[in-house]
Amino acid sequence: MAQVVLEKVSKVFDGDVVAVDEASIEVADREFVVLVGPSGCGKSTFLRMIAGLEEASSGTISIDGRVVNDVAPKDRDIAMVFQNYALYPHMSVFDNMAFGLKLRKYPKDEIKQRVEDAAQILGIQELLDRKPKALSGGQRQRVAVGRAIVRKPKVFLFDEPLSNLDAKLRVQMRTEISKLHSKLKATMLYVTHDQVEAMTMGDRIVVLKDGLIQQVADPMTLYDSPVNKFVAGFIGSPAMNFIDATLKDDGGLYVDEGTFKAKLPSRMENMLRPHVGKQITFGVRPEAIHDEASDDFAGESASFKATVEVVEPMGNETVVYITTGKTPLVARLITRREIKPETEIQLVMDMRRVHFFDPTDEKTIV
Amino acid sequence: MRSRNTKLVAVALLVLLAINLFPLYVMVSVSVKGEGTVLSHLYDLIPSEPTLENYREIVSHGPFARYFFNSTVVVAFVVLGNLAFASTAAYAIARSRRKYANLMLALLVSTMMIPKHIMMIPLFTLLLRMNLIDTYYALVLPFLVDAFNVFFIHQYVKSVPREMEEAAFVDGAGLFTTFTRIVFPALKPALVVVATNTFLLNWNSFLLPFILTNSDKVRTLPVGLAIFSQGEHSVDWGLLMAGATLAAIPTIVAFAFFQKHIVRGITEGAVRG
Ligand SMILES: Nc1ncnc2c1ncn2[C@@H]1O[C@H](COP(=O)(O)OP(=O)(O)OP(=O)(O)O)[C@@H](O)[C@H]1O
Ligand SMILES: [Mg+2]
Repeated sequence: MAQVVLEKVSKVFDGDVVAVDEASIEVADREFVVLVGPSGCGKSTFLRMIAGLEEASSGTISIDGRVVNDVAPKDRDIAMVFQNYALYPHMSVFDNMAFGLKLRKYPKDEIKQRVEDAAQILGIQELLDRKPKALSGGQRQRVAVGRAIVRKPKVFLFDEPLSNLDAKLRVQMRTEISKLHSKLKATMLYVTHDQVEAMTMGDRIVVLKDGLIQQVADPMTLYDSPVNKFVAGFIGSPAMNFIDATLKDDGGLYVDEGTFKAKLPSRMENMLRPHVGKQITFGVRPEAIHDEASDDFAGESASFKATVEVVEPMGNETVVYITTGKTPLVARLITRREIKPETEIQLVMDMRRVHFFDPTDEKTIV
Repeated sequence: MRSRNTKLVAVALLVLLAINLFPLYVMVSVSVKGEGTVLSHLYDLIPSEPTLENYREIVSHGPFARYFFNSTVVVAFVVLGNLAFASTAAYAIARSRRKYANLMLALLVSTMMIPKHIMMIPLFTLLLRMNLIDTYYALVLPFLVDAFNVFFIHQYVKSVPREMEEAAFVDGAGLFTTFTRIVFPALKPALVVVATNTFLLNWNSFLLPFILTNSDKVRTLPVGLAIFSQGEHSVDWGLLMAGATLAAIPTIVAFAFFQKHIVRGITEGAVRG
């Protein structure tokens, strides 16, 4: 049982750098929450305040119902995995993992048992006698995770634990940490700047920007209903296309980009009506652009012409960089048709899946 | 090309080695010359009738053992003191988030600019008033911590990743445990250098120990030897060099021993990403 609750927690460095700005969130027991955001947005600071490595400037942090603002890290019953592993170089892998247990005066055989169990889970039984410098990056990462799990803490904190690993290992460790989460039934907070990690691992995702929480939601909600342009652009790869356009009323509502014009689904009309005649930011995900309309959205589609600039065939799909003459766009086409650069292409947009943002405050309109 | 370069380097190293070893050789060769032959055969590089007489004399007669003991005690405390105080001070300064920490370091470093000899008379007066002249305290207390050592270790602490300590905090260690179990071992390469330097500096130190002592009871080796080999009107060079040779043995042994550790210490630096 370990809930982590932050109430209006802020961190101000040196009087003027606001790293975290009035963050509030309730992390449920056994939940896996991912914090994601661009570099410097305050993710590490957020996590470090929960760990007690950084003092909150204001607000309260509670773990398991107890306010921990004034509790030292060692008494918070948390474990943290650092980006650069932070192993103790002069100790063997066994001693690295046993260090926390020894400090807590666990009996010798229990320490041995726990370290061996953890090593078993992580597949590092063979490495227990080695020093950290004799390990590969992936092995060090496992030891760092092992050091966290032997103590069976209430809360696990991960600060970009996979960012130093190569792409393949990263994918592998990602699923292993997810498995570990269901096995240990522990509360986990996980920091990353990689939105793929965020989407695949989190029960819920917290999107941070400039120290401010933008949105807290499960992955699909975040993807389908971002609250603002930042979240819409941050989640998803390739990123959502943003198009500057004007909203027009020609019998129905139309969005006019200059080179093409598209009719909007009627369900959006109420929300968009106040913006008629004004500038608007129109967002469409690359996979909502198709090379031909299929039946299920034929009624609510807009076709347009574009020039192909770059083609990236992936096998299962083809990513094409196109321009309407005014706006550069990215499209992910599920097609085996050969597409050549510098040709004209006819495409359709699934208008059920477009988003509109207010260009002044960047909030989602619909 | 390559082998020629290595040959050149080898020759250069040999020349350097010869230049450095020559005084040592002279010291040893003079120490084995018989009584009276030192001056008459001054330029004989190879002593005609080598003898260990000087060694026998110095070990059996003068209070050589006492000097040796004094030196060992004094230097042991000074080395331990420097390790303990310089590392803790350096750590505190390096990890402090307060602005005055840097100012303290700057002040500390600026004391290195004061020539040691300027402090000789004030130091003497101070110890005299404290009634410590001619005691071990006079030889140990003023040398317990050296500003340079603090500075040196400070620079090293800066290179130790802070996350290692933070990992220890989260693991359940307090500040003291983190320092002794995690930081101190990580500083090993710097500590070895500090220990070696402090040892060499103090083992061979002459002027201050000479001023601060009056009796054989606390005299250290360099002081004792100088006084012991001093005849009424002349210096017994053979005796002096025998003493110096004996005194140099711990230095050479210590250096040979530490050197291995220095190399290993450096290659064993903290593990990072
Ligand atoms: N000790 C500190 N003193 C002053 N400013 C700091 C300190 N630590 C962090 N900051 C600032 O706080 C902000 C947030 O930093 P933080 O390390 O939390 O970002 P992050 O999201 O973890 O970034 P990254 O993805 O690069 O790790 C940054 O602007 C950073 O410069
Ligand atoms: Mg960070």
